[in-house]
Amino acid sequence: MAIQVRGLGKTFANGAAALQDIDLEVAPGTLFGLLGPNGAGKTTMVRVLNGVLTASAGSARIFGHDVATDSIAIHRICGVMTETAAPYENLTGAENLELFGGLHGLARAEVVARSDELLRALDLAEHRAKQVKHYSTGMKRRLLIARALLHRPQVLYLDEPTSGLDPEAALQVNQLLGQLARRDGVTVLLCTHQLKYAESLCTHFGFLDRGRLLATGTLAELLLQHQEAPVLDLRGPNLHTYAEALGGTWQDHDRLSLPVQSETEVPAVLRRLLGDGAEVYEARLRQWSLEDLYFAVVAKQHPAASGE
Amino acid sequence: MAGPRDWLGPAERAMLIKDARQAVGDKRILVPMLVVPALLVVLVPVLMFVGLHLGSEQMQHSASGLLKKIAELHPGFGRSQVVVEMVVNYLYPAQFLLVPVMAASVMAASSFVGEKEHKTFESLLYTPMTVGQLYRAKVLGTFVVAYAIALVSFVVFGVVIDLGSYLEFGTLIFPNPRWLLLIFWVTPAITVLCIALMVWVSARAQSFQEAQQWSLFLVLPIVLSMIAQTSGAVMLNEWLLLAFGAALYVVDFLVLGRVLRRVQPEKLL
Ligand SMILES: Nc1ncnc2c1ncn2[C@@H]1O[C@H](COP(=O)(O)OP(=O)(O)OP(=O)(O)O)[C@@H](O)[C@H]1O
Ligand SMILES: [Mg+2]
Repeated sequence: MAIQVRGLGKTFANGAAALQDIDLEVAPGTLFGLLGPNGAGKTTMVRVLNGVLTASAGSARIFGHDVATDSIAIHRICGVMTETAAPYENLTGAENLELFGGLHGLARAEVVARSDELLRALDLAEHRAKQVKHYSTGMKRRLLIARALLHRPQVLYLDEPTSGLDPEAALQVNQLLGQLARRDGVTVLLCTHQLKYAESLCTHFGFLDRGRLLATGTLAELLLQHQEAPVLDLRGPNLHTYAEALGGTWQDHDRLSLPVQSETEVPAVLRRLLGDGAEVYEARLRQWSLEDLYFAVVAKQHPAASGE
Repeated sequence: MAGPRDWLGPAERAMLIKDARQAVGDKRILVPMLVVPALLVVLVPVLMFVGLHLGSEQMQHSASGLLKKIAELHPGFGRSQVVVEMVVNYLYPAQFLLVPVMAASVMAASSFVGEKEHKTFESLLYTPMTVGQLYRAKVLGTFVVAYAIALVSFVVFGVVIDLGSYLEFGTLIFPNPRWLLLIFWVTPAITVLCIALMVWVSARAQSFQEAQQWSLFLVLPIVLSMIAQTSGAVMLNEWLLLAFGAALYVVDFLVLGRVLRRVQPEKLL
């Protein structure tokens, strides 16, 4: 396993329990989305998994290295980008990378070649000699991504990598990350509260809420775990007469929503309806999105908080 | 403890270059590091010679007790020469220590507290350097820069003094054993002490400015010793410098060791 976490907990000195009893396994080459609202504990998780904060309970291993005792070995194979680890504003972009290349023990020529490659891939080549204090927010963020990738890590932690990026730059970053995971087998742990973004990029997900990991898996696995069946949306003028018999709901004067076990069930349902004389203008199978699922899972956890 | 190779690996060198570059790129750091030495080792000595040449009596009045004692020690000296002797070899050595203290405290404040203020320290913790290595690299980098500034100031001061003395009296009076002791024995010791103080402060202060105020703890004793010397109550000599330096090294060893052993990286996040 690339990342293996057992019963991990982190309580700060002021008593705040930022992580509680986390169990997690991430296979090599996975793009894992760690999803959670502000204050869920995402950044704390990244810090603990890199040994920057010490866990107060449980254990974690990265490719077999224990985070509590072997953090230097972990830093050699992990790249980290968090918004809490800022770049040096008085240095240029290239100088920032040069420093971290040196700290990672890379040879000078390699640092230069690798910086060039990354600055070009992240569209920063023309800003390389500018002091970082003159960078825009998005440029700084891209520089942090370049810094995290400098030493070709096997595990990459990205804390909100695309917040503040324009759509074009975000797309560029997504392509880069997809390529890293698929072509180079890099394991990516991506922390975000942007659910749509995570859904478009990640293959596996974990829902973190108030320090607890509520669910993990692929979207299909999560849907299965929570038995959230797809919904067949039908539109037609006389469909309300079938609502009760099929266990569906009638909405908006022309729409019938039917839960189905899977898409293979759809032809049979349609045959039956049409055979019974239903007038179907439109039929569409709607899968639960990650967002639907996330709110369903979090709502189950806090029935009081989910007002609507 | 670390061997010499740990002190100067490529990672430490990268850190040193970064700290130096950052200092050069930040006016808050660069200006005090250059202005204080420039005032102390160029402007004030030049003013002294100009004053003497024009026959100003003011300086001679302000330290008449000390002046009398020095005149007794050097019966062959003329009046102006006694004044120069007093300034260069009695009053200025303590004042000169403000150069390394200033440079080391500004540099160390930027290197340690600056990381905290700008939220950059966490990024260093994700590199394969231990916290001990990071701190040692920073201490070394700060020392190199601060001591280099002191050395350059020493040389410039020497040139100014010799030039003035040659023009006034036709003799060269610099360097002498007293000043060599000062630059090679006392200056490194006080520089290290200053850095150790700043490392300790870095866990407490939240900003560069706040950290700077702590350096008053070292400036104050220097100013007091200057006053003591001016009054003629104590007479500076080589033995005093030797003893003072030795005491500083003992304090350095105790304080720096203790501070480095107790670093809490979480305090810098
Ligand atoms: N140094 C600290 N001391 C005390 N409490 C802390 C500390 N750092 C974080 N916390 C608390 O731990 C919890 C989790 O914080 P964390 O920064 O990990 O959240 P996050 O998921 O990254 O949030 P965001 O999306 O806003 O970045 C929060 O309640 C926060 O107040
Ligand atoms: Mg966060």
